[in-house]
Amino acid sequence: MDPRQFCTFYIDQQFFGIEAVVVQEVIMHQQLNPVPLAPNEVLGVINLRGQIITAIDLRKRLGFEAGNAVATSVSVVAQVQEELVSFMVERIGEIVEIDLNDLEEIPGTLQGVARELLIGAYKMPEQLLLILNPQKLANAP
Amino acid sequence: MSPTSPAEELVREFLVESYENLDNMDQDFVALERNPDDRETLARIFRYIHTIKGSCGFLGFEKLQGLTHAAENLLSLLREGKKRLTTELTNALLETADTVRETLETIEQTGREAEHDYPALIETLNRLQATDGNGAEEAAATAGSAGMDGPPGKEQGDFVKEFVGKGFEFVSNMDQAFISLQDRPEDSSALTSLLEATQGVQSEAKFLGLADLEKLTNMGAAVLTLVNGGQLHWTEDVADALQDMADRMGEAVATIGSTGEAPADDYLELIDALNRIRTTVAEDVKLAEVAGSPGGAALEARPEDPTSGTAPKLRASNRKDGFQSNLTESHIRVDVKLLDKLMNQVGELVLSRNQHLQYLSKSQDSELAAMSQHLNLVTSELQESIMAARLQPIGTVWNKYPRMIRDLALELGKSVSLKVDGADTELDRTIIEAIKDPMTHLVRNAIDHGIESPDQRKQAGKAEEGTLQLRAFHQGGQVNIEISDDGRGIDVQRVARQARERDLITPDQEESMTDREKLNLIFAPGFSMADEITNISGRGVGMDVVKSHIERINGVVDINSKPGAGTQIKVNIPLTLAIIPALIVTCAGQRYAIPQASLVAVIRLQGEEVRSGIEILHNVPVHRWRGGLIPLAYLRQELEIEGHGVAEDHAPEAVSIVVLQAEERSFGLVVDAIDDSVEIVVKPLGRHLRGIPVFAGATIMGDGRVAMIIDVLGLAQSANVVSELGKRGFMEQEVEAMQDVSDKWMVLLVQSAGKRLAIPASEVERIETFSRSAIEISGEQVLVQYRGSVMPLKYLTGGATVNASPTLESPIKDNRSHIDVVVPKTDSQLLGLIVDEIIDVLEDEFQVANPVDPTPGVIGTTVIRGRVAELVDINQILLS
Repeated sequence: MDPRQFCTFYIDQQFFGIEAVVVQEVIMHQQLNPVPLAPNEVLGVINLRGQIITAIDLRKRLGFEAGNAVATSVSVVAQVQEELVSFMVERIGEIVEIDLNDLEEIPGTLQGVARELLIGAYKMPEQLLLILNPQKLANAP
Repeated sequence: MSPTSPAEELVREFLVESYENLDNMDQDFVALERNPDDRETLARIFRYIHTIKGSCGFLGFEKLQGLTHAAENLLSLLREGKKRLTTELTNALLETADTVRETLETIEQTGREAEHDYPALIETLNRLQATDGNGAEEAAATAGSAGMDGPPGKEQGDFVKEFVGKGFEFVSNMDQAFISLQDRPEDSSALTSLLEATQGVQSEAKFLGLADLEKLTNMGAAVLTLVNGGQLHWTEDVADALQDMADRMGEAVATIGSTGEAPADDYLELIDALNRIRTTVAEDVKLAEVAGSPGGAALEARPEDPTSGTAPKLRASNRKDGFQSNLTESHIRVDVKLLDKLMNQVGELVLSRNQHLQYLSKSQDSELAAMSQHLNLVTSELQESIMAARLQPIGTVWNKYPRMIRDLALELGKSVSLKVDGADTELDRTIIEAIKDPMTHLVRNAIDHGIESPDQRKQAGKAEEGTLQLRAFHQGGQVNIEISDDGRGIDVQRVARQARERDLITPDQEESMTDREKLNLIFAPGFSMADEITNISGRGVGMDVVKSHIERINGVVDINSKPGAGTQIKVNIPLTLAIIPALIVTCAGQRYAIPQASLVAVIRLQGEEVRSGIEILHNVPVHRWRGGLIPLAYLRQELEIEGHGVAEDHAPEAVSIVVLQAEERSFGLVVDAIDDSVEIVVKPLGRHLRGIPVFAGATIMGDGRVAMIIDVLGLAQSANVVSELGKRGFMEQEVEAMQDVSDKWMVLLVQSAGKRLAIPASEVERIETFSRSAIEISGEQVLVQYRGSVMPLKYLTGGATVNASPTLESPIKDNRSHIDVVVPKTDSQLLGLIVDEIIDVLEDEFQVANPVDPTPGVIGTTVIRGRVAELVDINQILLS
């Protein structure tokens, strides 16, 4: 038994989660400051109590197409590789507890998400929860 | 902070001081080795050892005391001139210093000395004391022989000063202690303090040969030892006598301070009194046991004392203090963590103050404004002071080098002298931490690989002793550090070859790289210059680590080398203390901060100036400024923000330009608007954004929004307004010509193809006239033999050329006997430009107007001698 808590969220109607232990906080509609010349998936920076944190658009990072009008305006602030980073998502979900042993392989038919960013998948009643690897997510391209 | 006992505190102070002394000693030893007759240095070294020995004695570190004692004896002989300093002696003494340091570290970790002794080292030191024929001198441990005879001489001036400074400190400590003891006679820390102070003065007195003072304090110390040990009680008499002694001590210090000589007092009476006290110890103890009351017992032993209180009152001091202790230097030690904390808090305060100012600018409240003004002022001053407190001279790193270099040179059999310039250049502590290791590596490298052996140097016609020079200075908001050696320099071809052998570059690259690029291969990861990897500068993790360390603090490292002559490494580090003054500018609705340090001036062009102020030269927008031309960059463009506003379009009503400086070149940055000058807290960018060259960080403005901080050098490079060394375009030559002759520049005026053309003289190599017979025609090609090669010729028709064939309109067709040709300067293809007629070479302040219909090859039009001439772009013409 290896139950862990996961912080979940939605992007483009898909359901994702990352380990709660790396998540510091979740903030709605934090003012975003655009940064010219930034890599594509960096939306800008946010001011978190005096600290300047890079905001990464997870929709872009995960490889979804642009075009969906829903803004990724929820900040999931996480500590990854000794640095704070803000993963921008569309909507936040609940904290779920999952036993790591119950994780399944990522279905081969999964489209649109870079596979190396995922750790595994978990069947939830309504839909499939895809567990993300925070280190890989936060890697600079 | 956890409370430490007085004893622990003492040990800690002892350690800190001793480490410092040892560092100083290292430097002095090396200096002494070069200059064995330098008495002052020798005396200084002696003093350091002596001080350490004294403290050891006091703190009970016997083994260490024994070791330092042996060293002291040896030094004593040196000082008295009975022995001369040899390499063997220096080595032994340096070894002693190292051993002492090790012991100190053991004490630091365990609170006690190590278990072992130092028999071998002590034996060496003793053996070296043996003088030829005179027999070894056994300087007594505590007798005055270690001190100077007679009053302090002239060369001891510094010691006197130190003595006076310390003496005052000791005496005032005693004063404090006496006050404590008045209320609490059992205050053991006060008693300890008295003993320490007395012994301190005793030690100083012995060192300076003040025999009487020494005897007095010796006796006083004896008494205090008994009091501390509980064998003597703190009675009125004891207190009086000791207070008296303290007074005399104070007087002596003052007298020495003002006259340089000890007071003519032998203190016999007082010494006697103290002695009597000392010898009544046995009786005291007996009586105390009998009477059961401490104060009473003491009083009874001395019937002539009429007072009856149990606590001896503090007698008003009789001391004659004529001398203010302004010789005492007031410094305190502060924990570095505390400084960092202060720094952070001041940073937050600055942010808060900025928010206040922001709010204030919108408010009409004048009282609030006045109050905030004060807050503003104080915050700024506080910030400056904190930043100053964190500054350390780079010498603190450099002072380890003399010893290191000496040892290294000896090990390698080389001879190196160190020259230092600017050791007092101050840097923020964090910067010093960051560059410590890289610098050390560079220095070691220079000695290991750079400086040749004395034989090799001799063969090369150089002095046998190599020189290593360290330089540091502030310039333009940066710290420049130069490490130069006059060694063998770097063989770039060999570097390139090794890089290829290590698969760092391809053979093709090896062919095509410039020398400069090859030289920089040294910084590539995995590269190592030594054929065998030596212990000394390490394997190929050296230079690339140096570079990355330096770049981590936003610095740049550059290397320059001349084979046979030497190598110079330059390190430039921006002084990015966390809070800097900056100018806020706006571009496309966002704010950006430009560090004041790179800011030269601010220009606003309005109305007509907008059109005339920005000219295009060589496809680069420029602006005439202070007698020169500065290239312009558009911030919007550099940030790749879409939208209108670039030069080509119809001019806006006003244009704001900030003149910036990067690498000693000025350039202008066109922005939308210029806001205020503010102080900003520099915040680092995260991993994803760190690599963007035009940004140096970010800051939070008063309204909570983030503004990016422009990295001026990065921006300049990305906008190509500072070109690489060696490639000089039209621009720089113009600017240089400008600098000398204000706005005048030279053109070659020609007539060609029915037009008057102006060719910038700086682009012209030569003007030639060929006889028609020298010109050969081969099909479409027209050629002439020119300086050993064949030069094709074309007819200049304005911004372009055409074939100068006999069939087309050209001087060739006209069959002139002589053809005028303009030979342009070129790196590549040689090409001669045939013109109808060369009119003149002129120098003037030519104003260039932008062409109405831009034509490639034509920069613009200008008016020369009343007629319009087209200013042609030679480079463009050559390319087409």
